[in-house]
Amino acid sequence: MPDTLLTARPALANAATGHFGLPGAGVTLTALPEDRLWQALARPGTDPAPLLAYGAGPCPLRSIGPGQWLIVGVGTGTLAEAQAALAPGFALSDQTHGRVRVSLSGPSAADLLAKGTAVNLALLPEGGAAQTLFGHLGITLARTGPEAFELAVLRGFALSLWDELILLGREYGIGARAA
Amino acid sequence: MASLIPCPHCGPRPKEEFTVRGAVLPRPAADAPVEEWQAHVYLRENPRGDYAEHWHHSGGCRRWLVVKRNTATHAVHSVTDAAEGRP
Ligand SMILES: [Zn+2]
Repeated sequence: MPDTLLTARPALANAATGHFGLPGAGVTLTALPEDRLWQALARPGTDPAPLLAYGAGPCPLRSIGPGQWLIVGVGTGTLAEAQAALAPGFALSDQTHGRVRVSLSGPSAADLLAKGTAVNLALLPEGGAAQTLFGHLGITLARTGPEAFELAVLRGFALSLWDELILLGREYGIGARAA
Repeated sequence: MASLIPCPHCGPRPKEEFTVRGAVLPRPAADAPVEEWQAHVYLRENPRGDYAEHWHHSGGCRRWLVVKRNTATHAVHSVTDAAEGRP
């Protein structure tokens, strides 16, 4: 028997929560449940439409480059079933353990994000996504509503991103909470 | 150095999102003499003016790109996917 048992624990379980900075709710930061997050790779020219069936919630399919997507949210069916249905055009891999999602919403959410990424948020449509750097951290950024965004980050960087978002949000007033 | 690179897949992005590999050069034959390989791997011009390089969009789409730019004026002439035109 191993000396230490591995325990599944949310990456943001001990993250700071509460209200920070100026009064008012310019931005709300929320840790999202660590549900499904798959990566899909496609052969060149493959139509991504069949992938849509395997995600759920706003913006379930996130284009992160030519022939590359993240599939997020609670969906139906297992990875093996999806892989069988999508072969041979697509290859899927489960990244649920490797990436964490947070949502950022409110009237000042775009202003906060503009401090960290060079993606032109005015041109990012609802349902659109972009792989980019936020400061020095690689994130998958998605717009899920007119004033709502989701950020997916490597698990080990989640707390770092969380703290940075709070720091950058103080001037608007930011509320941070678990899902 | 040019600070905004218009990635053909992602749109304009800052150079911090990219990793520069170096000049776009034809690869020697596998059995070429060692002097030729030595030159291919290590020897580079450092031109003032137009230059073509391989850039990796490591912070974005993770595609290899061919960036044609001017090292003196910082103008970016074109950015294309390195796989373009390949079989
Ligand atoms: Zn790109």
